[in-house]
This record gives sequence, structure tokens and C-alpha cells, in this order.
Amino acid sequence: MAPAAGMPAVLPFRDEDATIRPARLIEDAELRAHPVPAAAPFDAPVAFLDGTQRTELLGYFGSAPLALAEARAAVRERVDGLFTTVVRERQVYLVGRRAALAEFGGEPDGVEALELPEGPLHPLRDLAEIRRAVDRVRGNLELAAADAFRRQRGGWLILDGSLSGSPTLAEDPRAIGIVKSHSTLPFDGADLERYLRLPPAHRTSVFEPTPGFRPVLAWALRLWPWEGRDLFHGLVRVEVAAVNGSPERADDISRALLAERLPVSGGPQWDRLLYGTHTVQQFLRAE
Amino acid sequence: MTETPVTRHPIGRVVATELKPSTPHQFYFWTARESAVGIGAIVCVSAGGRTVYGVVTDGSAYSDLPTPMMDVLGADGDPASPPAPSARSEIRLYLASVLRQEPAEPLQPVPIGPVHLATDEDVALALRMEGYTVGERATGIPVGVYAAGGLESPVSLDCDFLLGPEAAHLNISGVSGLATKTSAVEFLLTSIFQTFPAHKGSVAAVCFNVKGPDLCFLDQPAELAAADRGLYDRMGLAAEPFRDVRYFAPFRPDGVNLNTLRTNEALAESTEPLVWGLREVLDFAEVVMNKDDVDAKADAFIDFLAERVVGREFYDPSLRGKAFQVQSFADLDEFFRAIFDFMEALGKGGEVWRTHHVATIRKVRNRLSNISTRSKGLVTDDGGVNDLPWGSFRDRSVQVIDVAGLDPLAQDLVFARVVSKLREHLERRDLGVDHVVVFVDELNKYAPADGPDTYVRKMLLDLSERGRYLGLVLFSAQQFRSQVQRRVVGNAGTSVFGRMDMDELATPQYATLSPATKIKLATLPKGELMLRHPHFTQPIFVRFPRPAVMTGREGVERFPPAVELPFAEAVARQLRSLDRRVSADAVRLAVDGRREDDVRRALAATRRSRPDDPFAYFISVLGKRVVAEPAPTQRRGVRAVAAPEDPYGP
Repeated sequence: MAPAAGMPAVLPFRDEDATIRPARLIEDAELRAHPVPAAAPFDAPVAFLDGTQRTELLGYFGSAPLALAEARAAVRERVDGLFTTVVRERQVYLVGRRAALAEFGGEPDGVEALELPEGPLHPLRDLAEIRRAVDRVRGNLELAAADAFRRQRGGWLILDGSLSGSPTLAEDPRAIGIVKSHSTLPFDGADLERYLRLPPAHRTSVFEPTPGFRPVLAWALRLWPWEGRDLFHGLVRVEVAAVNGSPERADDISRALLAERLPVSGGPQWDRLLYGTHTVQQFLRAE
Repeated sequence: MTETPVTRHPIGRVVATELKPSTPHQFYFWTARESAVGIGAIVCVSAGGRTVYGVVTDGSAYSDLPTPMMDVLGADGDPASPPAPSARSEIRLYLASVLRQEPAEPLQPVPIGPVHLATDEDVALALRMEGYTVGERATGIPVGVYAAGGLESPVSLDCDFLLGPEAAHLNISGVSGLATKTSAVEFLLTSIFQTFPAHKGSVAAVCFNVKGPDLCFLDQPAELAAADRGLYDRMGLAAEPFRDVRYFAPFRPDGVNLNTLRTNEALAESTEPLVWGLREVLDFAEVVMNKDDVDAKADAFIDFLAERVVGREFYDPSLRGKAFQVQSFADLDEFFRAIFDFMEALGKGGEVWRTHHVATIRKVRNRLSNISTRSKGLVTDDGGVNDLPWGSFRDRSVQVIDVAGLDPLAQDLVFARVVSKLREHLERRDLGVDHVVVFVDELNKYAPADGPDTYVRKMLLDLSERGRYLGLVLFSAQQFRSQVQRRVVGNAGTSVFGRMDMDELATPQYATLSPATKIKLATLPKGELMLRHPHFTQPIFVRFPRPAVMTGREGVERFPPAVELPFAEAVARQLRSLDRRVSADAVRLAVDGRREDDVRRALAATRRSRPDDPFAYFISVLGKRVVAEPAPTQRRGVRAVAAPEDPYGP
């Protein structure tokens, strides 16, 4: 195995394609901005879920990279303002082509093998595959953590990401997905402009982001004023199960999410990262 | 030493980073937000075969808020904005200074491990008390309890380091008005008297009462709260006042009323006058003269007086035909007058008497006569003396000398003479006890950091540097340690601090204390102290009970001082302190019309002799009344002796 110094800087990690995926409006005939009533926190315990991943390139067998990847996920529940970790999940994988895994000589205890698809070998493409594979592992781990939480508790669960990846979560009446990334936008043209110029403490009309795929409904919510900063500043997409898709429920959930702006989480994504999610990330980094 | 049992619930965990590493002398640990840890708490870390005891000296807390601006943004600039639904993650990070490591060698950084609050056993080990509080020859003196996290662990000082010979002396600092300094010393003396081990010999105390009635009721019990009694029980001490206390106070200028607030008749029996004569004062003439006065010439003349004149028969035909018997200031003044008369008679050239210049003689005379004026009541003109029981000090006895009403010069005189006499007797091993604790409040007055190098200051320095070899121990107190001669307080093996003034804490002497410890000192409640002792590698906070003796204020309320009595009644009271049967009317009749000096002299003689029948003795010394006879109005002429023939006559 030829030793590696680290992930090559040229690798386009998480470089998701910027796309427009048209959504279907559920509320209103055309996209509108609805003012959200005054912020009011959830009146029940709330839990936050997030996951992290870490990949270390061990080296190359021939030209094939082999990486050690660790994915973690946790749920922290807030009671009386204080957080307690109620679910924690961890998986460690050796990731590479079958030949590289075989040449490495087997997995250490507690480590599983994750094979990359075969095909013409290009080290950078393989590294991108490793990244995608670990992304999937983390995503699955988050879903496992959500399931574990739901088996224990019935309260609100706020995830950092989309609900549409899981049929269970997509129908969970107490699950909320907060999507911070806007690489996929649900509208174009004048609707897109209204979408991106949403005033602070407003939400858009409710829409169905992935028609025909999962029964998830969504709306955009502006957490912080964006003028003078950026169109995306403080803008999140809120995803809920269809049962929560009525305008009244959208208002109630939006009010609670506006309350979750505080305390400010800090860091580069402070305008969209809820503090509860931030504490999960802190926990996962520290563990 | 065993590792901390794993069943104990840890209250924190040691953390070490590159910026905040563990070292052999300190470590950081975090705790839960609701932990009982505070500044001064003793904790222990047990990991990797090593047990480390530490005392918390600083603490900090911070949240994950990256910048204060984020909080402003979150609140939209409005401090009254509603609270957030989530409490920020917060850390309570403490810094502990190492008290002890086991094993002691090799000395290593504190290991990463769980942190526990100390138990009674841990406290004893952390403070190295197991070396002197157990066994047949234990030398522990309880000084208070370490109180933290619901624990009340007795803390003891080592009497080898408190009363000598290894180290000695105790100094206490603290702001006035909280009664902490006096109370602490009273409690500690109680503890010493009850626990000073027999194999160390006997011990007594001499306390100078320098203000108000502070120490005037050490023999009277206090009403203690249950919590205080509990502390006594915890330390194995009896909550009772001192059993053997004698009070000494000078007279007021009238020579019969005592100059003290302990004049209630119910307490008269244990209150005695402190009266000195010329001899007692002359040996300490240096005390009452400033440095400029005591030049070599004055010193030589004082020596001459002490060695040749005072208390001896001095004959010089040039002064007068009969010998001088100088016993009192009055006799001394007569002696000086004779010298001046002689020198004046000589006229020009009469400036030197026996090699002493007239100016020197005049200066010494002025200074010495000034003593009897400024110390009137302490120094008698008639030679009568009533002094401390030199040579017969009793084990566990307290002598209180009330100098509160004296002129500062007289206070210096009392202090210098008493300490010097203690030293003399301890050197000769004939005081009656092996150790004497001398308690002096307002040390800054007697040994100031600045100012002239006085006799008293030099004496205190000598006491602090060499007293421990003799068993002469100084317990001193002052408001501001920085205002006391550095070497005097520096020689105190044990230092105690009550509530401190922040300005004082800002002086360099306190530079080794952490800011948190300083804040704790500045806000220390009554009854709590910070201790430095040779066995404790870090300052320790302890709580002590209220002393079991009446405070000065309570004492004055319970035993109101008698009003200053007319001369005859004051004499009667003095006699009644010797024999309660003495009738005031009888005394009044006896002294009526007599010269006050004669009465005082008779009273002093009675006190000195302590006869079986004091009144009869007093009357006998006073002598029969002499009825004055009118002088003849006309002198009878005396016939001239018949003159022989005058050879020189005309």
C-alpha cells in the first residue's frame, strides 16, 4: 500500500448539483409569503437529530484507494431548556474496492467492510465514491437513530435535513426536517424570486417538494432578515409529514421554529443552524 | 494509601489541554452545573496508581457563545427579549492547586481522571494531619472544621509548629468590626488549653486588652447556638470559658479606681491593679524615650541611676549631708533637685556633675518625670508595686492586662516590660509554665512597617525570631498585615485571615492568592477563616465556632462597669476585693481627713501583703490619726550664746 497524506484537495466533496426541481403548490394558487405569528416555542419536549462522518484515507493498493470511515448520529432531547443525549449510533467502515479490501487483510474488530462498485479505476473518482458511500452510511445511521428515538419517545424530532429520504419519517406526524441547503430549489421564474426574497418571519405557501415520491409537504421559512447579506441568509426549507401540511399547522410549526432561532448557534451557518442541532454536532465532535 | 473507591460518585473530571495542562502543582477539572464544588473545596483525583489532593483556587464558566455580538444579534439588540427555549451549553471549569500527591515520588503531573469531593479521611491526608493528630504523642490542636459539600471535617494545627519548637507564632489579619480576629484567638486558646498534650509541658497565656472590653470577660460563659455547640462536639472540645483568668489593670490617675471596663463589683475579686514603681520603669527607660533622646550620654546617666542610685543608698557629701534612699519618683526628683542646687551653687563651671553634663541630666530628669505624669495610675510615686505573678504562672491560666485606657507611651511600657520579664523567666525556666502565648491586638501600632525603629518593635522582632526556642509565642492581630513589620509577621508559622479589605488584598503580600481566593477573602462570613500552616501546602478555609466566652459587648451589658467612685468608696471596694466583709462605712471613717497618698500607700501595702485581716492591716499601716496642732504665733527669742573674745573683733 502506498501511503497517503490525506484527501486530495481537488476532490469535489459534497458538490451537489444545483438544480431546479419543480414542486407542487398545496396552499394558494401561486406562491405567496405568509407572515408568521409571533414566535412561540414548542410546548412539549423537543429532540434534535444530526449525524457526522469522518473519513481517513489509509492508502492505495495499486491505484485503488482504501479509507477508514466513521459515521455517528445522535439525538439530544431538550427538557426544561437543558439537553440530554438519548440516542447515539456509531459505525466504522473500511471502504474500498473488493481487491483493496482483500489485500488489506480483513477488517479489525468492530469495523465493517464497504465495497465500492467495480469499473474502470480512477483514484479520484473512487475517492468521490467513498465519499458518497459514507454519506449514505451516515444517512442510514441518522434514520436508525430516528427510529431508535421514536421507539423511546413520542415528542417532536427535528432533523437536520430532508424527511423524504425515509418513508417512516415522511409519515411521522412529529418529525420536522430542516433543510439548510438550497442546491435544489422548488421554483423558478417569478416564484423563485418570491421564494428567495421571502421577508423575515414569513413563510411561503405550503408545497409538495417531491411530487409522487414521498408524501412530504414543505414551505420555506425566513428566520433572519436577509437584506444587506444574501438571498439565502436565514432561509430554510421546512419539511413535515402530510398531516402537518395545513396552513394552520404550518403557522404553528413556523412560530415554534422562529423561537428556535435562539440562542444563536454561532459558526458560519448560524443563520440556519438551530441551536439544538448545533448541540448535537458539538456532542458528536466531542465524543 | 488506597485509591478512591469506584463506588464514590465523581463530581468532575480532570481536563488537560495544551493551553491548560495538568502540572505537578495544579490541574483543571470540570463539573456539572449544580455541583457543590466552590473556591476552597478540597478534591481528590485517583487514577493511574496515583492519588492527588487539591484545593480549588479558581473557577470559570463559559458557554458556547462564539462572540458577545451573537447574543446581541439573537436578542435583536433588546436585553428584555424573551428567553430562548434552549439553555446554552455551559462549562464550569475549576483550577485546583495540589495539596499532596501519593506517591510523593516521582512527582508527576496530575493524571487525567475522575474528581471526587474529599471525605474526612481525604481532608486529613490532604493536609498531612495523619502525621500529628493520631498516636500516643499526637500534637494536633483543633482550629476549626473544613466545611464543603455537606462535610464538616475537623482541621488541626500541629502544636510543634504553633507553639514551638519547630515553628511558632500566629498572626491574624482581618477587617475590624466582625469580631473575627479576637474570636478566633479566643477559640484557639480554648482549643490549646484543652488539647495541648501533656508530654509537651504546660502552657499559659498573657493577653493585652488594647481596646474596649474585648478581652474583659474571658471567664464568663457565652450562650452558644446549637450549630456552634455542634462544631465544638465535632472537634472534641468542651464549650466552656477559661477557668483560670486573672485580670490586671492600672489605676486611674486617682490611684484607687481601676482603669478598665471590668469594674463591676461582681467581678472585682479576679481584677487586680497593675502598679509599678521607679525600679520597674527605669529598666525600660529606653521604651519611653525616642531614639534621639537615648544618646550615649543619656544612656550612661540612666545606667548610673540604675546601678548606683535607685534602690540603693547613695551618698555624696557635695549634694547633701545624708545619704539618698531613692525608691520612688518623688525620691528621684529630690535627688535631681539636689544635683541642680549643687551645680547652681557652683556657678560658672558648674555644668558637669560626675562627668554628666547638666543638659543630659536635665533631659533624663524631664523624660523620667514625664513617665509618672503620662502613666499616672500605672506608675506610682510611692514605690508600691503590684505585678503579674512572675514565677508562679499556673498551667492553662490566662493573665489579661487591660491597657485600653492607658496613654500609648504607657502601653508601650507595659508591653515591653511584660514581654521582657516573660523572656527572662522562660530563659531561667522559673516562670511556672513551659510555654506562654502572648496575644497582642493592633500589632501595627507596636511593630509598624514604617516609622522609627522603636524598642518595642525591636523586641517584637526578637520575640518573633527567637521566642520559639524559649516557649514564648506571639499571637498577634491587626487589620492590615501590610502595615506590620514584614519580618514580624513573616516569622509567624501560622497565618490566619478573616474578611479582608480589597485594597489590602491588592498589596504584593497577597500576590500568590488567586483572584477568586481574594474575592472569597473579601466576602468571608463571620466565623470563617483562611489558614496558612507549615503542613498545609495551600491556604485552607475553615469554619470555627463562636468562642464560649462572653463578648466584650455582652459582658459590659451583663456586668455594667461601676461608675468612677469617690476616693473613700474606691478604697473600700479595693479592700472588699480582698475581704468581702470590709464595711464601706468603716473604710470611709478610716480614710476621712487622711492624705490620699498615705491612704494609697496603705492600700498598696495591704494588697502586697494579703493579710488575713486586710482592713486591720490597712488601718495599722495607715497609722494613727495625727491631730494637727496650731503653730505658735510668736517665737520665743533665743538668747545669744555668750561670745568668747573675738580675736578678729574690732
